[in-house]
Amino acid sequence: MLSKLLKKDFYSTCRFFIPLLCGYTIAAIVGKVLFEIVLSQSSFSISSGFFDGIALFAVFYLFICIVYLIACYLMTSVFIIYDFYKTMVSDHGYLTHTLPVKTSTLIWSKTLISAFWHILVNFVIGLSFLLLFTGHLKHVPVMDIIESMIPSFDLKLTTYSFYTIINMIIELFNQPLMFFCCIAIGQLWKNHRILGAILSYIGMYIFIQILSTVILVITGNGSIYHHSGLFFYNGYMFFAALFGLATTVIFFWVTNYILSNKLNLE
Amino acid sequence: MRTILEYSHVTKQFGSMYALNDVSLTIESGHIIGLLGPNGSGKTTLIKLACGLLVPTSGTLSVCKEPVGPKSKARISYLPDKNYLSEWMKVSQIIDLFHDFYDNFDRNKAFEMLHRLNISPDQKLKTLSKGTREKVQLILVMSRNADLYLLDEPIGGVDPAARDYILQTILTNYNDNGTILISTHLISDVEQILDQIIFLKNGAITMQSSVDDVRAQYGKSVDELFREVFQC
Repeated sequence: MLSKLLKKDFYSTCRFFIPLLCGYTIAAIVGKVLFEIVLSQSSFSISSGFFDGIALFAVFYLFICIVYLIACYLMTSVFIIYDFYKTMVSDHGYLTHTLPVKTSTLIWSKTLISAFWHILVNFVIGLSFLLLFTGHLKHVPVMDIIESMIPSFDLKLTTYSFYTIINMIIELFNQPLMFFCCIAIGQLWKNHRILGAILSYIGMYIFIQILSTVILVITGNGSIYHHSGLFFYNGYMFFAALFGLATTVIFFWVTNYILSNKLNLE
Repeated sequence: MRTILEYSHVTKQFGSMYALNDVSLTIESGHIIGLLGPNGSGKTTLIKLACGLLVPTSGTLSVCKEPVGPKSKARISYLPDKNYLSEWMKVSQIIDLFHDFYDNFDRNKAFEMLHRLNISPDQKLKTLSKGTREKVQLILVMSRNADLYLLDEPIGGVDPAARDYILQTILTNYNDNGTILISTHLISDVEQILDQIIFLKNGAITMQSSVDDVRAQYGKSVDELFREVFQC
């Protein structure tokens, strides 16, 4: 049944993401064309009112693209939340919850679809940057940029990449499940369930921040002054992965428990 | 005869209000049952509990001896009293969806009914009128070979001509070995097809009887008895 749900949820979310990603791709291609025109202008030392206008427009366009890029990230979460709310706890929930599937399978499907779109959005954005710099990569100090991204501890690139990827994978599941969990908690409210979900999110976010800080301090991983930089970084990243994994499991369990045992589609 | 639906001391509270209060009820196969009561009597709550859309505050219920869950949901065909389908979908896509999830869904029957009603499978739901959308929902529900059909106000929002069509569709398409539970307060329209009735008042069952017994015992139609029992 999971494959059938994935198919259903994929089609349901496609109508949001396909226009969003198509729009971004077109914007990136236009950006590339403008970028090349401006570069050719500077390399041939052409200076005219026309080219100055294009350069100005290119800068403005770049700004719009950055706003679009940020919007892509934001809208990805917004679409995922909207789809979950609409299909799980609003009128469409009458269909979702009468399908012969377990509630946990419904949540898995929503989470996997969310992860898929997040990966795709990041992939398309990555490609857009690659497109922008294609033909000019020899001027971009790629390794220097990567090296500069690694904290200046005695840390290997492989260790850094391993921890980063593990944490990114956990985050792919943790973030949507936190939203789903808050929507489910909001359903426990008799009235104003959306407000309940928002307040749950704020409360949960603050609680998690405080809890993670307290645990970091208690376990001694919170202070860079007591340990070497490498020990701090390894400890912190390991803790982040473990904490992310634990909260992901809790979010899933709470969402499943509420939607299985406390569902009230009035 | 086998037990299709069983409620045992089921209570459902919304805050301090009792929507259902200690309801015990057994429904057997092969019947068309009218779940009758005034607005707010608990008809929809009773049906939603069987579908798993609500969870009882106390008590237990089973569908074909199964607790409410994926197995019971596979045997129930439910028509809610609201539009529960995504409006961006085409009728054919919704039929595909039902076909994917319900083993007992008869795709050909659904297309046949659509054809008879001149509803194009390529139309999106948002382009259909409210009445046509309701008909599509009914077609989806009645195209299943289910053990239990739970129809919540199937004729509530349609004109008298459409009511006849809907009742006819229900009668000619349901699984003979299954049971239909129709919730309504438009009794005179459905009385002709019912063989049992359940009267619900303030969240409690006040009568469960066959239509023949009602007529023999009270010398009245179900509609007349209802008006007498529930007069304001």
